[in-house]
Amino acid sequence: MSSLIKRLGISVVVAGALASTHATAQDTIRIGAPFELSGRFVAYGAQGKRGVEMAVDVYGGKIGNKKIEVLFRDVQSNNQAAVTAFTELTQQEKVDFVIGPIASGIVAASVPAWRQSKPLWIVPGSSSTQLEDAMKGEPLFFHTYPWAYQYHEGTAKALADAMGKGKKVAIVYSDGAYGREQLPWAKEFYTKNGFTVVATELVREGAADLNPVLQKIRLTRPDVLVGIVQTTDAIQLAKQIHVAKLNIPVLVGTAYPQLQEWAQATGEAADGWIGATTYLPGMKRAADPKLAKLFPSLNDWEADFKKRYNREPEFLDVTNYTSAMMLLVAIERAGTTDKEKVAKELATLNIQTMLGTSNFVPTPGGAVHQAFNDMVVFQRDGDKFVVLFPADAADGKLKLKK
Amino acid sequence: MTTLLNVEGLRAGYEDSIVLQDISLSVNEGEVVALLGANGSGKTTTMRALTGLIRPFGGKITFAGRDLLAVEPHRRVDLGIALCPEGRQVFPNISVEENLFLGSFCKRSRPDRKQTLDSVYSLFPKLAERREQKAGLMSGGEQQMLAVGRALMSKPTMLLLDEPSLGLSPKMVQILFGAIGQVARSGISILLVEQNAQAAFAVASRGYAISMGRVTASGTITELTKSGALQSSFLGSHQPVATA
Amino acid sequence: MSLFWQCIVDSLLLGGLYSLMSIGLSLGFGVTRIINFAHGEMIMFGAYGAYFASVLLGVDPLLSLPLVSIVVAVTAAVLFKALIEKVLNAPHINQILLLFGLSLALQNVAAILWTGDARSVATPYSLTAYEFDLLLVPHGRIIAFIVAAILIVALFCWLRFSELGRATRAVAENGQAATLMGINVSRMYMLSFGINAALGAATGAISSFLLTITPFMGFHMLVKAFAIVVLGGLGSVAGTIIGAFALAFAETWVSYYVPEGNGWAEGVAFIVLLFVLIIRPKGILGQAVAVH
Repeated sequence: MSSLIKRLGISVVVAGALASTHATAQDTIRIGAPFELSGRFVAYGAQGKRGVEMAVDVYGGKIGNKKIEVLFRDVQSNNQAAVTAFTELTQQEKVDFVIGPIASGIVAASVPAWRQSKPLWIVPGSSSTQLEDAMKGEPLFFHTYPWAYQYHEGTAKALADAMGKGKKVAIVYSDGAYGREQLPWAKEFYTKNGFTVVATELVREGAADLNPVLQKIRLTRPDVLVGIVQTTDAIQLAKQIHVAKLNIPVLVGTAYPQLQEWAQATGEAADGWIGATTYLPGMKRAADPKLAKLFPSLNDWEADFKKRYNREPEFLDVTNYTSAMMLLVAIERAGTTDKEKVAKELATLNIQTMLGTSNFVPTPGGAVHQAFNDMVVFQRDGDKFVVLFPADAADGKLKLKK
Repeated sequence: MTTLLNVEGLRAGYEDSIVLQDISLSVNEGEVVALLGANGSGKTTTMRALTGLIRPFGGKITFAGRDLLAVEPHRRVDLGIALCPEGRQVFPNISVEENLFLGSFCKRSRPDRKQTLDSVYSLFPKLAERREQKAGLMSGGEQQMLAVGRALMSKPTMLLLDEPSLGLSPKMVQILFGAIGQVARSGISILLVEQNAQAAFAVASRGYAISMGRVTASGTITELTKSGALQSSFLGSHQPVATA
Repeated sequence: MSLFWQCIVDSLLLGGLYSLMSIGLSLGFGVTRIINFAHGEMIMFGAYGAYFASVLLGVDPLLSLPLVSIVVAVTAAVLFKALIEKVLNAPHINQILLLFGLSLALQNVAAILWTGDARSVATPYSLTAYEFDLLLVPHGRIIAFIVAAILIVALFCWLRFSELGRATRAVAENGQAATLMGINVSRMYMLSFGINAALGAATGAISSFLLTITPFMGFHMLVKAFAIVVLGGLGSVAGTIIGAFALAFAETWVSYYVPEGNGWAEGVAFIVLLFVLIIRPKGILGQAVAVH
């Protein structure tokens, strides 16, 4: 008799324990966040982590009475580690929501791992059109970063407006997915806007001397030089262009002309470079009328960021904050952690964010959900950014380099 | 006669083999002592233990009153004991003169380097002729002279010579051992390892025979020759060597 | 034709940089027979040293170069004594693993300390150039060339004429014989490693204003330096210089005259290396090296 009672007692205790853990599991909202927290792309991953952490904190750490738990994983800027982390998050931790990684190559490597269980996936990075191809028609994939061609779409139009037709363009592009993918797009957009492409020169990532390429370009006497390279090479490119006194009146980059790190490293060579972006520090973007606490005006948000992290915010800080915040709002509005329902909410959000309106639209490339398509073209003028395009946001005119 | 070098009960070898079972010998100041034996008997191993190129398993080595085993290998030459190694081991891409400079690397010998160099050149005029030449380009005999000269540059009180006649023509052996005799007469003690007993006898006054890692006989050269202890096949070349 | 002289100038300037980049590795290898896989990180720390001296103290990289080189050299010597000395007689695979591991560790230490942000020092002379007709000679690169030349000549003189330099050469040829001369071989190893580090750090200081600084910049340079050392012949410091210029010329000429040349100019380096090693395995000036 006593042994039966003992066994009964144990079962009750065990059942109670199981029940309580089950209940605790339901009490948290878990979001997987694989980021490049070490290795080559640690700069990106660090911004990813800051953005997401800040969003969760500003939101209040809880949705309803459920705690938000972000499972950060370091993908070590390495494809294999990214696959492992992604798989662990989705198969073992069984998260339904993933935000990150950021670098093009790393995101591409994560795609097969994503396909295993297809969580709701927000990618606040990767401009690679290969990703766009791979994710054609996927309803659970949300891209909150410009595609590569959008840079050139913007700058070509802006320059055509300012310079007129018939001008000559030389393109320098890096050897690697980044440069090679964007080259045909750049050629297409510039040609469409009335430019003649007079030279396309390949440069090796990390090359010790870019002068040969620049001297060859000099011979073609272009009016515009477009540098489709990543930041590390862009530093050297800008410096060597400056030294070589190529006398090309207009210099265009991709993402890097807005980056503080690039500007500090290149010194006066940075002046006059043109870039495109969805976020410029100091831009005027107002708070969302209904969700001002979560989506404040850009100025207010920047001030808050500076107070928390004692540094100037950068593009990816903003992008990740905004993306994470949108996800949290979508989960709240869906009232459930069912990923299909959350995806529906996310897809129909209409919020004024610091990157522009949050509307997700399909792209010509086939991706279903692309947000933040309002590119702004700017030119560096000393420490300032002068917005050239679109006309309604412009606060200055194109200045030719002497 | 004071004992300069004293070896007692030396046991040494390499990773999986003991080569020296029990070696005891001594060299007095001003003496030339020969260590004779066949290939593999332990002659070179003894030399290496003396210079610290290998660490013995047991035994004692005293030099000029000091426990030599307590002195790090690269410090021994500064005490005055210099080895001219088996196979010459000159620095091949370095000139003759620089090889000699290297011989006087140790602090004690550096101040008098110029004078010592002059005396080595007068001992081996061939070296003076070839002073700018890369050591590796010289003949075997010339390299041997260089090796001896290099050892002398350290101003040793005791010179260890490991098989200097190896690979040399009879004429070269004659010239070399003539020089060795001169060195002995200048007061430097010498421990000479040789397979060529005839050549050794030309300069040595005393000798030890070793076989399979043990001393099998010792005494003056006359005693050794008479006793027949050197009868075994190791006697090697029988070319007569003119006494110096 | 108008590119011809510019090509020559660019090749020479690049050759100077490559020489400095590889000469330390060559010396270290020649003496210790260990391939210093952490060589790239010595360059990287030199670059960061010069960068921070510039940003925090306002000191030009050329002025901070001596101190930065010494600090890196001393640190390297300490690391050598603490870690690397232990694998001197170990199987080669152990040596490779240790140094490679050290390299990775250092890269990530730098990334943690200083983030992965790309940096560069924008000195006044890194943004200007001499112009002779159409010929462009950037100030930064010619200054780098001069510094490299001075350091290399100094190294040569030290090796040729000084007591320790001679001892270093002796150790490189025959460590046991060197011990018999009274040379403390393990200390010479440490010294060579330290000189390797100093020259690497000097390269880094120069790179700070010529190239981009990241925690991972070193690996790329290690691979090239290694190719140069093998090309020029192991154990020959003069051969390394020849190898460096050969590589610089090959890369620059391909960049200029082959379409898309810059994209695979560095591949050319390895093709040249392959051919040389097939035809002449010991490299251009390599010596037959005795196994210790």
